[in-house]
Amino acid sequence: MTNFDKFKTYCRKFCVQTRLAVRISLSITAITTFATQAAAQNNPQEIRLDFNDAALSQVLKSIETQSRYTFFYNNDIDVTQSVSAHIASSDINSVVTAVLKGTDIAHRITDNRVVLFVGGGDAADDQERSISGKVTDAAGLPLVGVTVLGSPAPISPP
Amino acid sequence: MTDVNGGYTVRVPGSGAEIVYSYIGYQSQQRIVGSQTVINLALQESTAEIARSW
Repeated sequence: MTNFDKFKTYCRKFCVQTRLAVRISLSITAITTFATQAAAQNNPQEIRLDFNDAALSQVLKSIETQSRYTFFYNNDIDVTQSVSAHIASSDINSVVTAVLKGTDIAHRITDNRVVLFVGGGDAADDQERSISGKVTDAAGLPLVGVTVLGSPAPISPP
Repeated sequence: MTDVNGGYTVRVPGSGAEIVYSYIGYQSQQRIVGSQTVINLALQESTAEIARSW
């Protein structure tokens, strides 16, 4: 083997090693990035509330901006009523419970949605009932064959 | 499913229940039952367009 051949072999080995090293470092970067993202999702940010006699709507908005949760409620809920809340927690359930303490509002959490409704703890409240109504289009003409689903179960957003 | 007059009746388990209304070509809507026994609503046409293929 000539010196030149030796040199070529050496070069080739060096090349392979360098490439391997680059590949390993790339994989490590990818894994680290992925792990960081996963950790961020598993540890939702802490929700901090410090309100004295503030409007409920204001407090709910604050929770929405600090977390991935959205509130759903209808006109039965008086969001202008004042509430006080001093809490720092990453558990949405304890945050909402603290906010609604002293009101007649109950809540249910489904996926990223917090549903508010009146009359928590009332026995009559959990009674099955019939709801009826009419579905129209924007012009007030009846729509035939609209799917109407009543559900306490998680509903995936459209 | 709504009838020819757009009317419907649905049974729900309690006041915390939700009702979802969906119809092809219209935006789905959700309502929380609360203390209501009659819920009328109007669906808005969906503005999403089917992509043109030409």
